[in-house]
Amino acid sequence: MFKKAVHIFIILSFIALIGCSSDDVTEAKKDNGTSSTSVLYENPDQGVRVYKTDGWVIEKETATSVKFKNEKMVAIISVVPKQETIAEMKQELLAAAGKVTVTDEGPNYISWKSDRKESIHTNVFLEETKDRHVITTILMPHNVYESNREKMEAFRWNIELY
Amino acid sequence: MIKKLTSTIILAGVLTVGTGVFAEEQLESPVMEEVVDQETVQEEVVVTGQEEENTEVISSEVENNEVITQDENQPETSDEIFIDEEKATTDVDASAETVVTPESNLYEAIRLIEEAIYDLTEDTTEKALLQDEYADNRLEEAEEMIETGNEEAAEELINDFETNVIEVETVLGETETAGEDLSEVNEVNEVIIENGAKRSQNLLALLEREDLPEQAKAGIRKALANQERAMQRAAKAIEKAEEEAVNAIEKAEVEAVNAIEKAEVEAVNEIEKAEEKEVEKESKKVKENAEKAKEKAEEKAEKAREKAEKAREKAEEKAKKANEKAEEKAEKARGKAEEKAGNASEHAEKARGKVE
Repeated sequence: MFKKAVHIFIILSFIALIGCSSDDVTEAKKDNGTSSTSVLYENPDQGVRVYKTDGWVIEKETATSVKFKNEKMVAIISVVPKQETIAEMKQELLAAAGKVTVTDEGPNYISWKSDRKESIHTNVFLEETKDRHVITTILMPHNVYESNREKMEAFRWNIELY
Repeated sequence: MIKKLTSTIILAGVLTVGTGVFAEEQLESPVMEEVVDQETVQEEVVVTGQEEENTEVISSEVENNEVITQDENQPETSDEIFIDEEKATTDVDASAETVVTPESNLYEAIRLIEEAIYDLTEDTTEKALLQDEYADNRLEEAEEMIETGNEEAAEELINDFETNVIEVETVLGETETAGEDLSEVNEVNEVIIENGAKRSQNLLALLEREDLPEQAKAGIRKALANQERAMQRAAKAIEKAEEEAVNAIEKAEVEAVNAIEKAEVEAVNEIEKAEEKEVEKESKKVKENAEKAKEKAEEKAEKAREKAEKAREKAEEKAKKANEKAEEKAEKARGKAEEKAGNASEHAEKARGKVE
């Protein structure tokens, strides 16, 4: 009888532990700029889900991409087949960007600003999944780049790939 | 009993570790999640906490399961992702070598990026230049598609090219009517004419190709006509701007001459006024001097009058004193005469006494 009680107690304790861990996850998401955990956009075919984020709205959707807008910022999430390497994709995106100045580059990240009177800052984040690449591009005028970093991060935080 | 208890504790331990791992994984930014090969039988699972800098590596055996992991090259903190503006930057014009065509997986994303840049740009002349650049891109892509035999894509691109050319016209039309800086608009028109001339040559070269179907050629002819029209519009705009500049210069010259004349007339008037003022000033001065002289004369007369009065008073006093003195003298003489007369009567009395 006592043994059974101990077993039940231990199992209940671990169930409580699991519950607490899940709660931490929810809290963490809420602390990072998410207005709620409700979904702003979901494409089950592409395995992309975007949670609602302050100020961001869907502007349009195409076959492989979806475009979001938030005041002076635009975000584009594109899902493409895994046929090229990330380095090749970066090269291709850069080639299409015209006259630009690369401001930073990492293995899965590249950013540049256009060499124009009214310069636009482009940040490209490339993710590799099992069978596809997910490219998140966030653009904004260069003069508001510093002040919009948090909004950009909040949006990125709420993109979920599955 | 001990065995059962031990097995329960082990089971509980495994559950705890497992739960902890997945809980931490969910804390990561979803963008950083990555799905790895399903066929992996044994591999390393890299788990990185969102707020931790250290990476924990846990080995585990996985069979036919998707393992969520983070790319080990992915920057872990936003500080690593975002660069300092002061960092060295690189100027790139990779477009000079590579043409990204609709056959690329990234083409749709690239077109959306173009669209976003256009939407985010506010300056109208910049917008016109962007559309001009996009027209260049579309034509290059169409040429590439013709080369690879994808005529359908080429036709679509030629249509897009036309849209870009028309948009350039629309934007510049708005700029001109809005009365923006004409020199800046002229510079943009010059760029558009220069680029348009190159594009016209390319379109003509395409028309000369014998391997193109008539339908494609019809589209190219239409695009060429639009391109020519856009160039004519730009040339007219430049001409108009130059005319306006000449007119403005002439107007400015006329205005300058008028201003000079007006200034001269005003100067003459000013001089006359000043002279009049000077005369007035002089006459006023003369009048003032006369006034002063009159005042002085009056003062002198007053003084003379005072002097005469004093002399008269003095004379009167002198006369009075002389009179008094004369009266005194007369009194004394009368007294003396009376005394003499008294003495004479006494003598007479005495003589009479003696006589008697």
